Amino acid sequence: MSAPTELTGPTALTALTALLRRDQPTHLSGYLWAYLDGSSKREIRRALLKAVCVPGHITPFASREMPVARGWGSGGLQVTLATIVAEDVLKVIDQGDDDSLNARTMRELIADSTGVDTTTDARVATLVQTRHRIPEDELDANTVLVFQVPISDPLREFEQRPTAARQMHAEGDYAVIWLGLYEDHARFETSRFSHSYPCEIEGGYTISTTPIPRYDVPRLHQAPFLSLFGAGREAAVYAIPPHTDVTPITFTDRDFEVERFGAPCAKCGVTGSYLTEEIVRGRPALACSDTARCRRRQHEEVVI
Amino acid sequence: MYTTVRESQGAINASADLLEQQRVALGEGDRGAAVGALVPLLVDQVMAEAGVVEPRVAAKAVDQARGDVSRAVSLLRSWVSCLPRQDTSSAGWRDIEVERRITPAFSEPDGGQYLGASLDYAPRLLNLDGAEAPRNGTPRDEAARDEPTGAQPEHHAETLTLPRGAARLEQQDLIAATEPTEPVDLTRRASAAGAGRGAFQQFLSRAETGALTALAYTAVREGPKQADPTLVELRAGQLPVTLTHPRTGNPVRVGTFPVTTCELVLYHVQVDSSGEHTDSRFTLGYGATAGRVERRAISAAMLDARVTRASANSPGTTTLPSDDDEWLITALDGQEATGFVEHLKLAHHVSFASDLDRVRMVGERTEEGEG
Repeated sequence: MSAPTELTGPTALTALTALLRRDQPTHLSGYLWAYLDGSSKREIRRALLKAVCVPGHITPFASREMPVARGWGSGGLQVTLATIVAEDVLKVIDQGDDDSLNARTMRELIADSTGVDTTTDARVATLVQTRHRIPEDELDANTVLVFQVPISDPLREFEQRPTAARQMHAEGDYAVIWLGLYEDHARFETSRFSHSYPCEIEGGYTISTTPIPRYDVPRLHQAPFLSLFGAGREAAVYAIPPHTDVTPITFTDRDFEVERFGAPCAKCGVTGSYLTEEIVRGRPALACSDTARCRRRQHEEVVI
Repeated sequence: MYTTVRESQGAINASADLLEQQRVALGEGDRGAAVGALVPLLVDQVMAEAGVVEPRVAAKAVDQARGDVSRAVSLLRSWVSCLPRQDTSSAGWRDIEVERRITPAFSEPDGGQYLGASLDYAPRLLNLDGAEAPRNGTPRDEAARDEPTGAQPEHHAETLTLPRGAARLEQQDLIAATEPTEPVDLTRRASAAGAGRGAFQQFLSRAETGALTALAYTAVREGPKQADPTLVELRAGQLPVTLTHPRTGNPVRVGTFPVTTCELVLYHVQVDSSGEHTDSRFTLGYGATAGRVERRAISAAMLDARVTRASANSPGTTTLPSDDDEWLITALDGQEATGFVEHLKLAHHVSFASDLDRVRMVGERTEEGEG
């Protein structure tokens, strides 16, 4: 298995890169740097600027059809391609894993259409496109996180009608979320919100931390990095600027509970990381979902 | 237990090689043209759902997608998504150069009826003998002449334009007032929701064929008997595209594209939420689609009529999905629906681990509570 850092040079043509490099462009402009045309980039950047200025506000934009299916990260991809610059160092993960199929497809499309360097090391990446995780390494102000968002609105499970939900956001009316939380505690003595935990942003809008686990939510609070969320199918972006309060919705006498695993990683031995079930040495075990960090720790242990 | 689907360079390349081998085995040549000739209505459906009329490119997309309509639509839409919008051209119902026109509501409409090339009147007998479609009763030659990848109707001796069938009803003041429509380019908007009937019309014209038909069908089934629609007119033909010449400023006809439009009326009168009759006249529904998949235009007209009639009610009070434009807008786009459903194939073990954590926790606390 090749590490993604080796993929920066000329790589074998995948279906997507073949699309980008086809011999006879079927329109005059061909495919442009970072795929998107100027007016599309402007459209997305305007929406992102608004989203950063109004933290947590679900900001509609004219989502473009991308060369990935809607629901497969077309929103994150648009945000990345509208913000990326030639000097960026790119990391793409899915489930915390640089090598998963979706991450690989995204990375190739972005890298091939821009020529930027790619990395698996979150500490040196300046742009991280992610599905479902925040890298567990410390991130600093040089990093921009781009989240692929399937369902942007925390009110969706309570109110399916977008116009009604918009009004509830405008009025700060999140009673249905609180009520759902109350019913959970009354019936089950705990919250049933799993991933995508609803959080209040700087005392204003409530967002869905889509769809990272609760484990990652505290990383967003007063984070030094900028978080951009892109929902292509739902044609919306939202943002958490650096140094912003991100408060999980919970009652004052009830704790916000993150996932607990009760075991160290079966591969690198670290405790307290986010684990998923895998087969390790032929047996089902729990291992780090952040595979790059886990591999680095395994290597460090061997060196020591 | 769930494991990560991980890629390796070898697997992806091997998969690509296999696809290429199968593609080569199918034969070389201008495959796009061959596909267009073989399955013209499939190409029409792809162009309609994509909202992109370019038969040769659409046929290539069908080929590249191996006949998967959704994927072919995706290829077409993403192909044009970043192209600049150079100009707009307005054309109306009256401009259609008619190749087929039927009026189930009237036996003798002004201008007459024209069956045109249609499979409607051929028996549905599967021909097992050879490549030729059954000739008996099938206007195969006409179909071939009118298939959408062919040259456009300049070859017709004279073009036929006709008045609207519904004009007769309007002259007698039997049609309830409808919201005027303004053309809207949905591809440059976030959503069709709240953008008016013009946006809704464009949305319906690109809606997924099966979903569109299913919802139109439920609209007929769920309502009272009087909800039965009557099709006033179905019209298929070539819609001319006329642009303003950048230098001379004169209108220049740059081409035509195949289009099917439909107007129908609902007998059931408009009532508001209190049950008061607000209008005793027919409700008119309009539907249009690129290409010749006629149920698309009929279904769109049906849903347009239902939504128009339901708009007499206060917002948010409609109960049937087929009456609720906002519900329809969230459900009927094929790209959104198939994209989301198919994304479930992607790895979800991080979010699932979070679900597992909660399910176990709720189980523990419930047991403690009972114990």
